[in-house]
Order: sequence, then structure tokens, then C-alpha cells
Amino acid sequence: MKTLIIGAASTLGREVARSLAKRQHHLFLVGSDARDLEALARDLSVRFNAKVQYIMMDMIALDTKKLMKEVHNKFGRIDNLLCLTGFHHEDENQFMDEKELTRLTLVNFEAPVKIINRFIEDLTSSTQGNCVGLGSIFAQRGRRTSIIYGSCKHGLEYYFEALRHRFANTRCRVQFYRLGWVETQDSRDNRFFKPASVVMVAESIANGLGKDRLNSYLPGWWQFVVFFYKLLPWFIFKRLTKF
Amino acid sequence: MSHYFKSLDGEHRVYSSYLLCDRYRDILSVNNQEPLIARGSGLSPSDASFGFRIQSIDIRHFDRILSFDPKENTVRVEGGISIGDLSQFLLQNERHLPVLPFHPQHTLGGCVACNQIGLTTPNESFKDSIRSLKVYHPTLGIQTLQPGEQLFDLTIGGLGLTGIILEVELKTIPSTHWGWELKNKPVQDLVAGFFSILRSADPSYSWHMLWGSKAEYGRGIFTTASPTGSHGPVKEFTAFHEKDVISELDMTLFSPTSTPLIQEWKYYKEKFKKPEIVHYLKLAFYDAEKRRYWRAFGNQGVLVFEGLIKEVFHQAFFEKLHKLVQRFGPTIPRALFFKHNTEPGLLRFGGTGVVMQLHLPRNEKNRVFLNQLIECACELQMPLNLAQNSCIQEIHARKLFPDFDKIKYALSLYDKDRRFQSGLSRRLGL
Repeated sequence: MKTLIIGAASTLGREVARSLAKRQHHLFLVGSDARDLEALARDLSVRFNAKVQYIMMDMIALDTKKLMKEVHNKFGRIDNLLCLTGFHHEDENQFMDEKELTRLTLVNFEAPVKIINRFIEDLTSSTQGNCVGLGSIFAQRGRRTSIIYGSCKHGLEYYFEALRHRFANTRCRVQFYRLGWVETQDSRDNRFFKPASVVMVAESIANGLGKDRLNSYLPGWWQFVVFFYKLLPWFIFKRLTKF
Repeated sequence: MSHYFKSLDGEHRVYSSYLLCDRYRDILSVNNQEPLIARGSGLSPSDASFGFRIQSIDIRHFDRILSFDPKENTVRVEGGISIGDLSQFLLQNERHLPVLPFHPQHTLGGCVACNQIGLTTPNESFKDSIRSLKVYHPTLGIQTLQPGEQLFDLTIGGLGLTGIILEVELKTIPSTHWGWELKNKPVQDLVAGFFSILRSADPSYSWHMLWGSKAEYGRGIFTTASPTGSHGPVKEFTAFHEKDVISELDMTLFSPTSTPLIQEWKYYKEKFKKPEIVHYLKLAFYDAEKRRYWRAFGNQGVLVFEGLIKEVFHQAFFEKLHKLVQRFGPTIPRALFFKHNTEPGLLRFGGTGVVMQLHLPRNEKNRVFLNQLIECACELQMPLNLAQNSCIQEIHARKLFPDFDKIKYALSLYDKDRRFQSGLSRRLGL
């Protein structure tokens, strides 16, 4: 299986790469930091004897044409595409300059859509293709603390739903996960919810390949929290400042 | 981001700045003027990886194995990898690290910064396994250090005050004999335990009960481990990643009444136990799979003492210890002895003798006892492990480490702004 991982330098990307390398996938890693990608590629080949290639590409300066050319030249056609990019701004409640706003929309929405669009032929022609995307529990109800991030992830959710419909008559499977708090750099100290282990989340994503999983929560118990969160009446919801 | 830090001994609790790094650019872009300190698993008994108004840089995501050379018997890894993780990889290649800490969850960077010692390798400390190091300092950049260089010497056992340990090249030991036979033997007192360990050629340890009348005081079990030449029961060994050493229970289960009962039960259980074969890593990671023990200390924490008893003053020390126990009546769930024989140097723990490790539930009585014990240790010039003692202060460090001022001077020459600090280093006046 040939797998392309976008956002492989992140904590989650790294763990997913490990889970897939364990399952003998051939990996092509894309990330924004060459030092991390090099270290990860070495790690995967030392630990799992995996075949790994990588390219440094920042989502802000994304060139999908170049990416596809590199992937096809070095790697060939892909079976799986995992878009694990995501970026959350610390303080979306405050005024945000346009540069930051563009960055947020690029990383969280535009880049995954552009990349999937570029590789759509690879995925449809593969006999066991998978397209994986990540959403967020933040995108389940519009709220003041993540206006842009939440909107982008909500948009991505819609895109993946449409993608699933598009791939319905092909062998390509679509998985879209709504992530809860995960032990990554962006997870903040939370008094109520303990962040989930990255390894557990990565294993779930790797195990989900080959299955149709639209809007699954990771970890699963978040669906109950979000269910009640959505039911909150407006007069209570508007008073919530943190959540 | 602000984070609540608590040391394992519960003595130090602060809200302080925290940065969980998962990429090189996060570490390399740290440029604020706040003092910094690298943080691994946070298993040090004291505040070695945090402090008031000190930014803790969590490097646990730097856990990649960069190269492995079976011919040269070396492995190059990042500083945030846990020893358990690394051992798991080396085990698949029929190797292990020469020195293994008591718990697999310790990170490699932490082991280097504290120059960890092991239960099964009395003649080596972590320093002897290191071939080279890469250290990052915000002002000085990334530096590659080799043995023999002054900064290499300052970094190993240097409590993380020279920078963030990014990469380490380590020696590994090939082994096919993973099965070790453990034999228990009761010992009458501390002196008997002390000499049994000193005379044993194989790895050995003993634990003792520090309570009761003169006849009962110091009784314990001496355990010796010898290789069987077999592969050993690998299957039983799965718990490399034992987490949650720190308990949130508000009470301790080790009270002055319950501790003697628990120890008495353990004594008879161990005394009549048949020799058993265990995996080498299980023997070396003495504190692994002891989750219930650690949790029994509760939220208040565990006070730790670690010092080296030399043959020249063992009698005097044991007498002083007995008097202190009689006077303060502390609760000591663990009094563990094991052999050690390495060269001390700079802030590194070392010498020839038997290491005594005490664990006490944190309360006022035990704290006073521990302070008195440290005073006794200083009088006898008994080497103490700076990173493994809860109550050690600058005055003690100055008495025990003759090169203390030289080290301080060397650190200030290397790092003029003293960017790297911790609660422990401030307490020690470094």
C-alpha cells in the first residue's frame, strides 16, 4: 500500500506514520519542517524497516502540481491519502489580521481540498484507496473562541461528505474523524477533559483504513458530550465563554 | 501556556509556563527572555524540570531513533525517547542499554541530565554509555559534544543546565541471555544486608524494615540475580509504558500502623518464595509494574533519599540512622540497598559502596527526619544524589561537592545569561 501523509511532521502525523509503517505501508511524508521529516523517515526505517520518502512543503506555499509530480516520480500512484493538517489560532476571539486569517483557512480547508482534488484520479483508480480527513469537535456548533477554525473544519466536513458520495461507486473509502482533545502541542490544559493519547488516535485512524467512517468521533465518547452540547438552549449557550 | 507542575515528592507545586514541543522549529525558536529548562517525563523526585517563572520545554515528542549500528553496537536517538521505548527496540535486536534506570518511563535526556545509575550495573553510570551528544542553547545554537570536552562533562549529570539535549549516541550491549534467576535470603540487619551486597559478584539488592525493637530493626530480604543462560520469559514483559506514577488520592495508605503490617507480609512472602526466573529488563526496571505502590503514597507525594554508604563509615552511619529512627519514628515503606562503584565528578553521584534509597510518605515528621539524615550524611561526607533527594539544599551541596564553585563558574562562563535554570538549581544555588 502506498500512502501519502500530509502534515506528517505534526505529533499526530508522526504517530499515524508509525502505525502505518508497522503495517508495512510504503510512505510518502509531506510536512513543513525538513528536519522533522528527515528524523521521522530515519526512525521509521530503523524501527520498522519501512520504505519512506519525504518532501518539505508548507501548506501556506502549497504547490499541488509540484507535489504530485514529486510523488509520482519518486513514489508512483498512491492508494491512500491522509490529510492530517490543522492549525488552531490561540486567540480567535480577538481581532485577527488578514494574513493570519488566510493562514487559518489555507491550512484547515483550502490545502486539503486542493491536494485531494489533485490526487483524485489516483484514489479512484486504486483498488483499495482511502481518503482520510480530520475535523474537530470545535466545528460542531459555532462559537466565539474558534470562529475561523471551526468554520473551516465544518466546511471540510461537508467536503468529505460530498467526496464520499462522489466515491460511492468506486473502491475508494472515505474516513472523516472529528477529533476531541488530543495530547498534541495545541491541546490545552483542560480541567474537565483529559486529552486522548496520540497513539490511541493514530491506531484508530490506521485501523479505520478500508472502512467507510464519516464523522466518527475520536475518542468515541466525545459524541455524547457533543450531543448534549448541541442541545444546550441559546440562553445558556450564549453565556459560555470558554467552551 | 501555563501549566500546573508538581514534583514527585509533592514539596514543589507551581503554576508556570510550559511549552510542549513537537517540532524542531518549536525548540529552535524559543527566544523569550524567561529562564528555560527541558522536561521529560517529570519523574524526578524534586523540581528539576520546572520552577517558578521558568519555562519548561517538554521534549517527549522528540522520541525518534535516528540510526542503529549493530556492528558498532551504537544507537543514535533523540533526547525525548523513553528508556522503555528504546529498550523495546533494542530487545528486538537482542541488545540492551548498559545502564537502565529504575523506571522505563524516564526519558533519555533526563537520564543524561541526572547521570542515572542502575540496579544491575554497579560499575557503570549513564556517562559511560554515551558516545556523543547534541545540545541546543538559544544563544549558542546546536553543539555536538564528545567525551573529553568540558561541556560534555558539564552536561552529563548537569541537571539540564547546559541546554536541551536533542540527540544522544549510546553504546548498546548485545545479549542473548535474558533470563535471570532471583534468589531471596533473609538478612538479620542492615550490616548483614550491606556486606551481602558488597561481597556479591552478581547483581543484588536488599530491602529492609526500619522499625521495631532492636532485634527486629533492619531485618530484610537480600536478593541476588544470576544469569540462567536462557532467553527468559519475554512474554510476561509487556509493561514498558507504565504511566500515572503520580496519584491523585488525597490520603496515603502508608501510615505508621499499616506500613509495618505491609512490610511484615512482604517479608514472609519473599522469605518463602521459591527462586524465580525473570526477564533482565524486569529486573533492571525495578520500579516498573509497581503502580499500586506509587499510588499508595497519594497526592501528598513521596520523599526520597538516595546516598552512598561507604565501608569506612557504614557502622557510624547505621548507628546514626537507628538513633534518628528511634527519635522521629518515621514511616519508611522502602529502604532499598544496591551496589555502586563509579567515579564521582562535578555534580555527579559516585563512589564505591552501597546505595541506600529511602521512600517516605510526605509529612512534617518524615521531612524533619530526612533533613536530619541529610545533615548526618554531610557530617560523614556521604555522597548524595542531587537529583534524587527531596530535601537537599545549597549548604549540603557545598559540603559534599568540593568543586561546587568551580562548576558554578564554569556554567556562568559557558552560559553568561544563565538561560537554563530549574527550581532545583535555584535551591542549590547553581
